[in-house]
Amino acid sequence: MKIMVAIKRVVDYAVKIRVKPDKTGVETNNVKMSMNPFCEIALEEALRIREAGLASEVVAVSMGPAQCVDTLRTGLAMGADRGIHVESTTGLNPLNVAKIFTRLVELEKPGLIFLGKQAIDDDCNQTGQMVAGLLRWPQATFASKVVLDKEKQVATVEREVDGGLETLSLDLPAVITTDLRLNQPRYATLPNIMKAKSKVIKKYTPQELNVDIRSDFEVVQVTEPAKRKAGVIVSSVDELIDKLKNEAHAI
Amino acid sequence: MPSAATPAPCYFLQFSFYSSPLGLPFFFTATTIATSGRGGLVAAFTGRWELLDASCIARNCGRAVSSPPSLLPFVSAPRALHASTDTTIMRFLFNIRNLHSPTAQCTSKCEEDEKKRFCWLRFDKRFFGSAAAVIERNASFSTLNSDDVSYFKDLLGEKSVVEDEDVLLTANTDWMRKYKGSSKLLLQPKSTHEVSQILKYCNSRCLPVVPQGGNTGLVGGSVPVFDEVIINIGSMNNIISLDKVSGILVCEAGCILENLISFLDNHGFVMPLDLGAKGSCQIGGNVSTNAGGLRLVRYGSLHGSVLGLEAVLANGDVLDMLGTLRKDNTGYDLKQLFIGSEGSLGIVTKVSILTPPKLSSVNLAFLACKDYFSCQKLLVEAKRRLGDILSAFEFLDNQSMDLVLNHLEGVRNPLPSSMHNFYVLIETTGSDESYDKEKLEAFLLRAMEGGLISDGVLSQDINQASSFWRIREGLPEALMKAGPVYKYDLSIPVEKMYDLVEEMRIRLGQTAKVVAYGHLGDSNLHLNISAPQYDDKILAQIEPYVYEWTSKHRGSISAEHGLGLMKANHISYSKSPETVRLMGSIKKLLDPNGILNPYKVLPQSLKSCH
Ligand SMILES: Cc1cc2nc3c(=O)[nH]c(=O)nc-3n(C[C@H](O)[C@H](O)[C@H](O)COP(=O)(O)OP(=O)(O)OC[C@H]3O[C@@H](n4cnc5c(N)ncnc54)[C@H](O)[C@@H]3O)c2cc1C
Repeated sequence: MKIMVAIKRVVDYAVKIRVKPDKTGVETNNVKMSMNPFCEIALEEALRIREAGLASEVVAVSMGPAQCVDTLRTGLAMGADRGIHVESTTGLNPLNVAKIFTRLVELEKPGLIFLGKQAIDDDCNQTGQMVAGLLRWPQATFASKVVLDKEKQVATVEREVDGGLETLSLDLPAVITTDLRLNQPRYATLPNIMKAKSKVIKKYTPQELNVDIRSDFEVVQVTEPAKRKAGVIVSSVDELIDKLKNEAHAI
Repeated sequence: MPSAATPAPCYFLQFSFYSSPLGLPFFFTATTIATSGRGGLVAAFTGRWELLDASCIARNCGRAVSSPPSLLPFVSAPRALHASTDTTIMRFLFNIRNLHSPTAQCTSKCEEDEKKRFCWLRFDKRFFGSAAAVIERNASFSTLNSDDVSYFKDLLGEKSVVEDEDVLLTANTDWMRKYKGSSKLLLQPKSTHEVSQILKYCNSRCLPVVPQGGNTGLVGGSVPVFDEVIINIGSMNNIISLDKVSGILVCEAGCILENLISFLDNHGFVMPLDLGAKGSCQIGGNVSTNAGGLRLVRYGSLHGSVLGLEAVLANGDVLDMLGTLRKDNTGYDLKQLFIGSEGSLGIVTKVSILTPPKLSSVNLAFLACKDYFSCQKLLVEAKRRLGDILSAFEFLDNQSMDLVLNHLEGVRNPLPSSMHNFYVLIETTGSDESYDKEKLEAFLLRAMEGGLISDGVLSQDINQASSFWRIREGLPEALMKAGPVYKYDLSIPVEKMYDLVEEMRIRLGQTAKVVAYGHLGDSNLHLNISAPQYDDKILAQIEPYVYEWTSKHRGSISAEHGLGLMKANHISYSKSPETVRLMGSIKKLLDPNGILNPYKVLPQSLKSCH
C-alpha cells in the first residue's frame, strides 16, 4: 500500500506574524518558513505505518512556490520515499489544493491519505475534508490515534472530541487528518539528510494536472488583532472593586 | 485519585530547605506546581511555612496536592522557621506521601503513578557555602538605622524602599542558593539622579552597598555578605534610543536582556550577547560581569560591543561616558574599567551598545562525537569552513546530557539511538537561507565521512532549534535541581581543557559527579561538580587543585562569570602581584571607603575602610 501525505510550507510556528502595511496579507519576505506542524505529524504517522510493515511507500506532496522543494527535502530527510511538487506562483485556496490533490490521487492510487488537520497560517481546516468529499472516501479528522488492520483493510481512528474520545472505523482507502497529540515527529538526522539528496521530487503544474485554479472568494483585508492595553496596578481591594464596577463594568 | 481511564493529572512538589553553618535559622520553601494531564502548566505556588508542627503542614500540603490542578487554595504563613533536623523534614514528606497512598479501589496503574509521585517529592538540601564564615564584617562600616531608612524614603518614595522580609529573603539569596546575606534594606532607584543621591549618602555614612541586577550571577557577587544595602537597578528599564542606521542601542542598565532581544528583533537587530539567564539578567549586570555567553565566538566580548556607559561612583559623581561612537581615541578608555568590575567601582546606570543586524537564516546542528579530540578537530574545521556564518560552537559531555534528561521536564534526547561521549552544537547565522544550509550540510557530511561526527541532527524549524538549545542552556538549571554544585568557569587552551575534567573524575571517584560543558569556541570550560551535599572534604579535593591546574596551564580561573565572593581571594592564580596591586589602587581611588560591593572581586588583604 502506498500512503500520500500533504505537507505545507508555512511561516514558522515560532515566528511573530506581521501584517503587510497594505493589509493584503501576512509578511513572508525574509521570514523563516517551515513545515506546518500538523503536516509533520501526518508525515510521521505515515512513516511509522511504513516502518511497521503496513505500507510500502510514503509519497510527500507539497504545493506552492519553488521553495516548497525545501519543505519536501525536509520530508524526504524525515524518511518519505519520494516527493511531488505542484508549482504555483499564485496563491492556492483549500479547494484548489483539494482538487489538485484529488488529481494526484488518481495518478498515484494510494491506499491511505494523511493531511494535517489545518495549516497554521490560514487555519482553514478544510482541505482534508474537501479531498475526502471529492474522492468520496471515508474520512476521520483530528486523529489522535491510528491503528491499521491490513487484512481487513480497515483503519481505526481515535479523535479527541469535547469531553472524551470518539473511535471511528473506516474502510480503506480513506483520508485521515492529524491532531497534535497523535505522535512526536522525528528529527532529520544527518545520514537521512544525505540519503534525501538522491530521492526524486517530481514536478507538476496545476495546468498539467488540468486543474483550473481560480478563487470564488476574495480576501478583502488582513488586520492585526487589537493591541492589548497595558494593565494597571491597583493599590487596594476597594480600588479593584471600584474599577471592576465603574470602569470595566464587569461586576 | 484519578481513574486510570482519564489522562492522570500529575502533581509536582519540590521542596528545598536551607540552613547555614553560622547557626542562622532554617528556611523551608516549597514550590507546588500542578500540571494538567496534558503537561501544560496550570498553576504554580511558592510559599514558606513555619515548621513547628509537621503534621499540620502535611495537612495543608495534602489539601493543596489533592485539590483540582487549576486551584491551589492554601495560604502559608511566610515566616522563617526553626526546624531542627532532617528527620522532621523526612517525616513531613512521608506524611504527604501517606496522604496519597493508593486507596483500595486504585488499580496497579495508580500505584505506578503513586511511585512516580513519590519521586517527585524530592527535596534539596542547601547548605550555604562557608565563605561568610571566614570573612569578618568590616568594622569601620556603619550599621543601618531608622534615620537612614527615613532618608531613603524621603528620597525615593515609600514604594522604592523595601523592608519586606519575603522580598529581602529573595534578594539576599543568590541564584544557586549557595550564598546568603542578611541585608535589611533593598532600594529600587528609578533614575541616575536617585542612584547618585543614594551613593552619596551611603558614602558619607560609610554604609556598604551591593549593586544588584537580575541576581543570576554565579559567583556570589550579587548578594550581600553581611548587611549591605541592596541597590537593585531593575526599575531603570527604559530603552532610550535605537539608531536604525548604525544599530546603536542606548538603554538604562535595568533592562532585562530578553526584553532587549525582542525589542531589537522587532527592528531587525540582535543583541551581541545571549545566555541562558536572559529572562532575568539585566544589561547592567551583563556589562558589570562582562558576560560572555553563547554568541561570543561570533560577536566578540562586551569590551568591544559596548560603546559607552554612564556610571555612578561611590561618592555620587555621575560619569557620563555614554558615547555612541565606534571610534574614539581621546585619552584613557575609562568605560572599560566598569565592564567586568562586578559593581566594585561604580554602579552602571546606562549603556550604549552596538547591535548587529538580524540575519534571517539561522541553522542549528546537534551532533555527537566519539571523543574529545574529535570535538576539537571539528572546531578547527568549523572555524575554517564555516568562518563567515559560524555563530555558536558549544559542547557538553555525556554526563551533562544525562543530567539534563533526568532533571528537566520535557527535554528529549535528539540522538536517542545510542549514548555518545560528547555532544556539540553548531549554529550558523547568515543572510542566505539556501546557501547557508547547503554550506552547513556539506560541512557536516564531510565531517561525518571523516569520522569527526558519529551522528547528528539538523533542526528543520525554530521549535526544533529551541529544543536543542534547551539542552545546552538548561544545564545550570539541571545542576541546581540535582543538588549542591561546585561551579568552575575556566579559560583553558582547548587541547588541554578536557584533561582537567578527567583528572577531576579520578580525584573524586564516587564522591561526586563531574559534569563538563561550555563554550568550546572560546576555550571556556564550565566544570561542575555535583555533590550530595556541600562538604569541606569534597571541597578540599577540588580546591585549590583546580585553580593550581588552571594557573599551571596559563588559563584563567574566571572566564566569564567573574570573581565575586567565591574567587576574590584567588585572583593571584590568574593575575600577577603587580597587576593586583594596581587594581587595588584603582579601587581605592574610585571608592576610598570601600562601600561598593565589599569583600568581592579583590582579595581581602587589599581592602580597608579607614
Ligand atoms: C542559567 C544561567 C546561565 C548563565 N550563562 C552565562 C553565560 O553563558 N555566560 C556568562 O558570562 N554568564 C552566564 N551566567 C552568569 C552571568 O554572569 C549572569 O547571568 C549575568 O551576566 C548577570 O546579570 P545580572 O543582571 O543577573 O547581574 P547580578 O547577578 O545581579 O549581578 C552580577 C554582578 O554584577 C553587579 N551588578 C549588577 N548590576 C549592576 C549595575 N547596574 N552596576 C554595577 N554592578 C552591577 C553585581 O553587584 C554583581 O557583582 C549565567 C547564569 C545563569 C543563572
